[in-house]
This record gives sequence, C-alpha cells and structure tokens, in this order.
Amino acid sequence: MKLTSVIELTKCRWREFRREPSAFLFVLAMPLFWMLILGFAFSEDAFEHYKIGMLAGKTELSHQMESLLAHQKGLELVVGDEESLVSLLHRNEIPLFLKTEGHGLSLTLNGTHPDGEKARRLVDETLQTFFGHVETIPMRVERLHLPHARYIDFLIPGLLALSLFSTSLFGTGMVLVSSRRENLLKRFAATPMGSLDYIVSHILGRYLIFVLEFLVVLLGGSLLFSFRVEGSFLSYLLVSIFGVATFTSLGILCGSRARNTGAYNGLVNLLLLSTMMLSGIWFPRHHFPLWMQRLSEGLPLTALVDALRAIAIEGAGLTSQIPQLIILATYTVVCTVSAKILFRWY
Amino acid sequence: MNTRESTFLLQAENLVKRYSTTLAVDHVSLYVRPGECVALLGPNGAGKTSTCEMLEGLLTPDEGTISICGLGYARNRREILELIGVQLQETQLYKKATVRETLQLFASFYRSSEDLNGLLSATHLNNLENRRLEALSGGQKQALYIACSLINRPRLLFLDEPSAGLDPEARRRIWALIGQVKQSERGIFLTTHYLEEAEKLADRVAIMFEGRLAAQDSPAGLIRTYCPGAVWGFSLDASAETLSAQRDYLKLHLPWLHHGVETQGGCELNSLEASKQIQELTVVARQKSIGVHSLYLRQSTLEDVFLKLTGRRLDETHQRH
Ligand SMILES: Nc1ncnc2c1ncn2[C@@H]1O[C@H](COP(=O)(O)OP(=O)(O)O)[C@@H](O)[C@H]1O
Ligand SMILES: [Mg+2]
Repeated sequence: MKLTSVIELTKCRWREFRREPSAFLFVLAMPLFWMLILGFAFSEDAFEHYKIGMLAGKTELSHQMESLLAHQKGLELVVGDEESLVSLLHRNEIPLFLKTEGHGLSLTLNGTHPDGEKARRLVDETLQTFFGHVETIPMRVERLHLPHARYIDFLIPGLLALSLFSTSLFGTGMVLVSSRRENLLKRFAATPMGSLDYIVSHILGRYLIFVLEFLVVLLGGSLLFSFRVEGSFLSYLLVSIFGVATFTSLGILCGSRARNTGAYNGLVNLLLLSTMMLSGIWFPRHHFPLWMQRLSEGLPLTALVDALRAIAIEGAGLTSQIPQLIILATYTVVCTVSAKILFRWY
Repeated sequence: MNTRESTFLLQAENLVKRYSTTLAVDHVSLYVRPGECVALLGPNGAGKTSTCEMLEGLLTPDEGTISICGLGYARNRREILELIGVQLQETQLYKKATVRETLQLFASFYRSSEDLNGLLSATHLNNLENRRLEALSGGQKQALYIACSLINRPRLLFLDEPSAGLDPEARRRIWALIGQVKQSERGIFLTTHYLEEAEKLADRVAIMFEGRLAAQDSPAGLIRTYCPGAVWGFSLDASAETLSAQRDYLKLHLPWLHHGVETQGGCELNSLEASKQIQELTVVARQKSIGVHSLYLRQSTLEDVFLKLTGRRLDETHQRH
C-alpha cells in the first residue's frame, strides 16, 4: 500500500462529496428533515391527551374513581391488574397509574416520562373538582424514575442508522458503479496504483462523511429535542463505527460489478425501502406480525438500530449488545469476501 | 537477436482478440522503437481500441505475445505500468477535482513523476490549473488527459484517438502538443481515424480494417508501395444517357482506363504515367468530339492508399456513425 496514493484518492473522494452541493445537503439535511417533521408531528404536547392506568378494584371508591376518570376529558383510562400496569409503565405507554388504598389513593408516577407531571396535574384537578378543595382525598405518591422514551428519542437512533445505511449504498456503492461506467476504474487499472489503495480510500472517505453524519444527528437531536444518550456515549459511537463498516462493505458489494447506474439505483432503492420498513426505523417492531419480526431480526440495519436504541434509551452497556455486534460483524465479513470475489474493475 | 529485441519499446506478435462472435483483432503484429510515433489508422470498429487495450495490459489477448521494454504483463505488470503512459478513448476523471489536483492524484501513483508546473505549462494548462474538470472544454480535458499520461515521464505513450470529437482548432492544438511530446527516447503509439492526424504525427502508419492490419510503413513508403506516381481524373461533358456509351468508347480505345475507378461523371486513376495518359485521352476524345471538362492531377495521399487497400474511403466508413 502506498500512503500518498491513499491520501490523494481519499482527498478526491471527499472533494466529490464536499463540492457537490446536492450530495452534501442530502446527507446532512435528510436526518434533520425527518427529525423535525416527525419529532413535532408526534410530540405528545400536540395532543394534550394522556393515557393513564387504574388498578381494577371491587370497593366503592374504586368504582367511583373509575367512572370519574374515565369520563374526564383529556384522560384515557386503562383498567388492569397490577402486573400489566407496571409493565405498561415500564414500556412508557402510560406515565402513571392509580390504585385505592383503604380510603385513600396511591399514585405511581414515572418521573422521567415527559407527560408525567402534566398527567398528574390533570388527575389532581379532576379529583379536587369532584371532592371539593377542603375535603380532599389522601393520596400517597410513589415516584419512579424509569428510562425516558419519547417518540423522538426512539426516532433519533433510527435516523442515524438509516443515514449510515443509505449513505453507504448511495455514496460508496454508487460512486463505484459510476466510476466503472465512466472508465475511471479502467484508467486507474492502467497505473501502478494497487487495488487495495483504492478500496481503502473509499473506506476512509466513508468515515470522513460518517463524522459529519454522526455530528449532525447528535447535535441536531440534542439542540432541537434535548436528545441524550442514556448509556455510554463511547459505546454509542463505537456501535455506529461498527455499523458503518458493515454498510460500507455492503455498499462495495452492491457496487462490485454493475456498470448501469439506473439499474443500481433501482436495486438499492428496493433494498433500502424494504429494510427500512422491516427494521422499524419509524415505528417499533413489536407492532409487526411475529413472522415479520423474526425476519427483520437478521437484518444488519435492525441489529444496528436495536443496539443504538438500547444504548441511547435504556442505557444498556456494550456487552449486552454483543449479539447485535456479532450480526454486524458477520455481514461485514460475508460482504467483504463476496465483494472481493465478485469485484471487477471494468 | 537479443540486442535487436531490446531496442524495441513495444513488440507484439500475432495478437488475437475475440468477443463472443466478433473477431475484433485478427493476428496483428506491431512494434515501436524509441523516438518513433506509430499510428494505428482505421475506421470505427476496426479493432483499434481492442488492440490498444491489449498493449496497455487492460485486455488479455486470446493469442499472441506482448513485450514492453523486454518485459511481459504476466510477470512484470507493475514494472511495465511504471514505464507506460495511457490515455483511454473514453474516460471521466473526478469532475469536482481541479486540473492541478488531478495531476497530483496521478503523480501519487508513480515512483517518480514529472514536475507539475513544468507539465502544466508544457500542456498549456497553467492558467487553468485551479479550474474544475466539469468546467473544462473538450479540448482542454483532452490536453489534461494527455498530461495525466505524461506524469510518470513514460518511455512509451499510448494515445487512443487523442483528438476524436474535437473541433478542428482544438484538434490542431492537440497535434501540436503531441508533436512536442516526441522525444528521442520515447515511443508513441496512437490510434486514429483521421488520415490527417496519422500523416502529420506518425513516422509509421499501420492501416487496420476489420481486425486485420492491411499494411504498415511510413506514410511516404505506403504511398510509394501502393499508390506510386500521381492520381488524376476527369469528368465528361455528357448527359446521363450518353455518358455510359462515351465511357465505353473511351475504354475500348484506352485499355488502361480499366484500372481506374468510375466517378460520378468520369473516372479516377492512380498511375505512374499520368501525363502520357492525359495526352492519349485528349487525342481520343477530340477524334470522337467527346467533351472532357474538369481534368485534375494531384499527388497520391494516404487516403488513396486506404481506398486501394480496403476498397473504401475512410470518411465513407464513418458516415454510419
Ligand atoms: N466489450 C466488447 N464486447 C463485444 N464486442 C466488442 C467489445 N468491445 C469491442 N467490441 C467489438 O469489437 C470490434 C472492435 O472494436 P474496437 O476495438 O472498439 O474498435 P475501434 O476502437 O477501432 O473503434 C467492434 O466490432 C466492436 O463492436
Ligand atoms: Mg476505439
């Protein structure tokens, strides 16, 4: 390998990206665009509507509470047993639940749920209006701090993964195809420059663009929506770097033979759309039918998204994400080996 | 034998290239000596690019051997690539890179490279060095591609249709550039479908047609061998009905006319005895009061050689494209 060749090639690759305003903007603006559109569209503030839980009970007070809260505007009541309510609370589907304790009430609140305080205030107001200000009912409040989960917190790691995926396929892979079509690869083949230098320059160029993508999604998320990574930031970064390796090798594999940019575009769009849906970028995968969930578990995009979300939302450690990392590593090896076998210069 | 071989920069024997059904290159043998410019002349589809790419190590010949400065691609590919400069027929380099950045890129591929500023001014690109490739004209781009092929001070330079598709003015500038690039130690192998280009630049011309070499010699040598003497022709002052009768009458009395080619209103001949034949024609024509109008006499050119060897005019074969 010749270092100056790698550097010069990487510089050229970077310039093609940096000096092409549409490519530059596309990579940077797409995640921000989705973040803004979906972040505000699904921000819970827009609804002023809270789903809360109530433990099923047989006492008169329980029945009274149930009918009172069920008819309150802005509240949606889920009645269930303790176990299901706790699970709903942990899944962030409800910010709080109530249960009767003798003549009083007990309220269990997830303090980190963005709707927690607002829902609680609405419950307080409802009770006070009903019982009157003086003779208010005793209430014990238990405050939990569960990991936060707004839609935007769910969305941002997904957008990062998607951006890394699509830039690899449309960037790295497409550049290979058009360079082959335009005989640039053939011209290079007539120089002593080694093929390894060329591939390495593509990988380096990809990581330069990665730095930008990563920063844009991270800064955009934290400035606009105060997104933060619950777990270790280093793990979050490391998993992203892992993902880029996988997707770059996938991009090189997709671009290893084709000369026709139109056909390549179609193929990649198909791949992108289907995996994007299956990997649950926009919506949680547990809404999907079971067979679809199973199918999507083997996809590299799913592995990356799941790992990023676990670290960012649940604060999971890197070791707990080893299964996902193994999936990514397997794809990297398989794609690299197949690309090496299939690759042609012209 | 050995000493003779090492004096060749390029020596190719019996090259054959097949693409499924087409025989693109059919037993072609070529050589280039130091200081020599060899042009492979032929119409589109003759097999020039296929030949060129085999010599550049980009295509593997189905048969035949190639030796570059005594080295072969199978064993010394990298070594050869250090020694040659290549300009492909159709290439797009990085569009967003500037002229200087592009040359820097190519310079980084070689062990030693030409001084950039010297090369920029030699190729008249010095005031364009900061312009991006997407903003260059066709002629400027071509000059840059030639500059890229010169970056490693090649012993042997391959130029595949260096001036194709350019306007006459830009074409002349490229010819001037190639003329400058000639050096006593360097060999140039270029392909072209322009007679003028081959005539102007080449010390030796190899005429290629349908995959085969029809002839190979210096332009003067080719003319001497295939079209010695001069070319002359005439046309008759006759209506369409009487024309063929008059032509037959002339042929009867002037048997050498059978060697000529019938043109629209008359005949064209390549001959060593042009002036004698012209006299005979005038005599016979006067006897029968056949009006001869427009009579011309010129030196034979490569065009005539091409016509003689292939039965076609080079520009005719291009009208299909
Ligand atoms: N990759 C290819 N596959 C099939 N046929 C080819 C290919 N390249 C060239 N040919 C055919 O081989 C012949 C010679 O082509 P080429 O070497 O490009 O000629 P030239 O450069 O003189 O125009 C043509 O008939 C062309 O159609
Ligand atoms: Mg050609």
